[in-house]
Amino acid sequence: MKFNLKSIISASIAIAAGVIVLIGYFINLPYLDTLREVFLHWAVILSAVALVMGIFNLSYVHIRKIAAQSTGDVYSGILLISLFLSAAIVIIFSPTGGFSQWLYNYIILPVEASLLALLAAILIYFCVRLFKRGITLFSLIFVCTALIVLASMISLTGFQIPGISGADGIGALIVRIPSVGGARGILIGVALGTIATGLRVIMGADRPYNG
Amino acid sequence: MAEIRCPMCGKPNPSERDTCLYCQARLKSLTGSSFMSSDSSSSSIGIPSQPDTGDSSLPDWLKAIRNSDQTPEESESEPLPAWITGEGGEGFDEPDDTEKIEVPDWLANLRQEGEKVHTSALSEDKLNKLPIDDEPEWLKKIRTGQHEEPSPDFKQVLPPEKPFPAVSERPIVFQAKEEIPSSEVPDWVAELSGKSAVSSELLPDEQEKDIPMEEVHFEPKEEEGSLLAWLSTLEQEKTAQAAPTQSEKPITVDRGKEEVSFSSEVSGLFSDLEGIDFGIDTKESFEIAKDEKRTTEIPQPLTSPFTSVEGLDEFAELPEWLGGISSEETIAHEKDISSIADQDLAPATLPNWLEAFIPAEAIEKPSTKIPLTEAPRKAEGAGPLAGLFSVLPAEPEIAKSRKPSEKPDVLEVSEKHRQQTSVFEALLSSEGLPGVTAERQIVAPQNVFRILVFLLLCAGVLGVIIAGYQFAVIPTPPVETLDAINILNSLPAGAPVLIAVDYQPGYSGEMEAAASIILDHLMVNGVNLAFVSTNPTGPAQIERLISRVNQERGHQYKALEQYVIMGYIPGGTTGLSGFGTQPRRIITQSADGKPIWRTPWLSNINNISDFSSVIIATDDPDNARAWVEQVQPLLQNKPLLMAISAQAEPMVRPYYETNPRQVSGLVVGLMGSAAYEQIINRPGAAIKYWSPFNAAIMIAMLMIVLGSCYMMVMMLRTQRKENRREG
Repeated sequence: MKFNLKSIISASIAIAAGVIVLIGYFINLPYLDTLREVFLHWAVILSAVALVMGIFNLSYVHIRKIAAQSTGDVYSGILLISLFLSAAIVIIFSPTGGFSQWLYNYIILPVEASLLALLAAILIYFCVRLFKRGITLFSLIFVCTALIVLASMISLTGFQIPGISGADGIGALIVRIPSVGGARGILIGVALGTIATGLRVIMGADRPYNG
Repeated sequence: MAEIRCPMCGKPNPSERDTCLYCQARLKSLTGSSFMSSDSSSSSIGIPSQPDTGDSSLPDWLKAIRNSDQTPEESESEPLPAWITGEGGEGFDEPDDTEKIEVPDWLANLRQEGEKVHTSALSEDKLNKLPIDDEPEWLKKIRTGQHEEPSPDFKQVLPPEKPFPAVSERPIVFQAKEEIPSSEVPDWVAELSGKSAVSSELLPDEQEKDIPMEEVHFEPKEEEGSLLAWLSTLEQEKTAQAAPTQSEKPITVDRGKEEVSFSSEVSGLFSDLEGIDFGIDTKESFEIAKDEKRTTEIPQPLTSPFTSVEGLDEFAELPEWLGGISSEETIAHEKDISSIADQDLAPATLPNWLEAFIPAEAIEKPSTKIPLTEAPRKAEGAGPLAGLFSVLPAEPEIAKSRKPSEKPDVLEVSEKHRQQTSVFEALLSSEGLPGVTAERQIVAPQNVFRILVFLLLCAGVLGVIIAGYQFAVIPTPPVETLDAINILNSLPAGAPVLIAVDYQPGYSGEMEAAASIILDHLMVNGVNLAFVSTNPTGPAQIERLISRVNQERGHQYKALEQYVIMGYIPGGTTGLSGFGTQPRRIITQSADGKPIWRTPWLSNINNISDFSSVIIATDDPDNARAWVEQVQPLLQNKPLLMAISAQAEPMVRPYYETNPRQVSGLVVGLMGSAAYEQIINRPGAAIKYWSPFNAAIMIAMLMIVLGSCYMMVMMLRTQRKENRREG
């Protein structure tokens, strides 16, 4: 059997860290809590470093793309200029400085808000065209549910559609019962998936660190 | 010991065996003759080229030939009859009845013919009357050559030690049916008759002597050797085909018109013999009728009187002309055969006259089913069929690959073809080119509908905003919003409150409305605010939010004194967990680089639970879940409030509806914010947005309803048309 020292070391570190942090949640021991806090602190620092490394990697890829004069190198140039300019502004004037605030107020915020506004119009358009491909049960349910929920949100001149609007209307029931039920199911699934993933990492079966 | 080679496997086997020792194949044919012997030099199946004395299936005449081919020592050991060796005196003794062999039919018929009707004999006077010019060549040669050079006596020619005289050396006797006067006999015939004493002495039967006929004895000449040679060749060929038997086919001798005319076969005989200089020295005897108008049927083959001797047991089935030929003589005259063949006869061609003498039974013998004139067959050289002939090839000739015929390099094209080719090439070249078509600016219906949707939405929202008409009634605040208001109302002045701004800039319109009223409420109460974010743009959003609230709500909150922007918490869930356990270690300074933990109202904050309340403003349910899972357990019953987007309500509401509540209060979307403002009586952005928001929802609902109905109608019409077409 062939042993890889590198994988053994990395797997041991990952398993030990996971076990120590997990035990720290169930057993109240002072030194375990301290060790767990140290690990968490390291994790936060490594996450920040990973973000910086990601910025460097992104810059390197687009610099090579410009050097190779490949397709779309103009957009790479725009990306790099925006990246370094924003970084320079934030570093020089702080994240809450006047220039940084200007960038946010007049570039980032309008762009993202416009995209969401387009999303609203596109959703309406495709909801209309849903019947063009045929009338099915699920298309009817989808359209009717959307109309009911929308109708439950509006109140024209104080008039509320009886049975639909209001806290006891159909719209509120749809949001509270089916939506919440589905959301809880999703949360339970996510929790189980998280547990399984954590156990696999702790047991060494899953090695996202390429050990 | 003789060996027989198996025709199937090719291995030698003893001659006594009928089947092969190795492959159990039949070694001998059903007709009794061996197919192939080991010492056979012939390549033809069923044609034994060498005598096999031990084979009892061979006919007797062939045995006799083979016996004659034996070595002289062997031949000497067997005593020959006296009549053969010439020591028998004038005649032969009458053989015993017990030693008699069965006389073939043809011989018996011949005897009967000789007894009853004497065959026509050539009279001397008739012969003399023959015109010289009409005489056949052989007669001319007889007249000229034989008289000039008389052949030696038969007895003198035969060597004394020669045990068995060949048939060719025997005298040929012409038996005349009528006595010819001596005056009419030609000279050459007279000479021949004078030398025919030996022949007359050799007559075995007294009855034969009594027959009034003239015996003509032709002594062997110098050409004897050549004649024997071709006869021996014929013997070798005919031996393989058949033994001579009696033939029913007669040979007629017509003497009409003062000339000797024979039947077609006999005439063919003379035509074939024209080019051969053998004189009259043949091995047959002819009986020619003297009567010129009489046609006598002579049984074939014409036999010598010797053959009528009943004492010749060994040659009972063998014709005389063939039985006397020894292999030694055959071998001795092979050279002469080749010389004759080179002159006139083809090597494999049998003269017609000789074929006429061959009995039909011999020709039709089963052992000679394979014709000799057939093309030489190819023997299989390898494989299990090795040695067999006429084996079909494994690969037929038609399947063999052939080299395709080469086409000429230069194509002859006429001028008309050149023109047609150029036109065709032009067509092909223009096929790949895009055609020039007039561009039509047609706006697709779907694009029109998209633009219509956008314009209607913009028109509705802008119309309400510009008009400033608040037609929408503020909804009744939900319970979760009331809970949030009550909790915030309960916070004392100066209490540290942690606010997380974790929404995307795109959702700023909805989220800022909710966060603004909460901030306004907190600022009204004089609460100290600490801001964090798990979003990199969080610090800018926080600064924008505080600035907006200060401007819109009339507050004068100052940084570090009343609020602190702690900045960005990296690491996602891990960062939140670390921040929840050790806020001072995760966040060491403010977003603008100032120390935050030295501020008076933050100096007492060591854990997350030291904050009076935690408020989360997010549009992402995952962020809300992360705060609930990682931070809420560390709050130690401190309230956790959330201002969320309407899209995150289904995911966050379960945390609110649990018991005990993980989320103490919720402000959901624009409707919750408007209700919040309505309750605390501080109208703000939420109430301002509420009417345009309702207008946009109404327009959206109308477009969905009308568009869906239109699509349904169109679809139904299309289906009806299709049904009509199909029907």
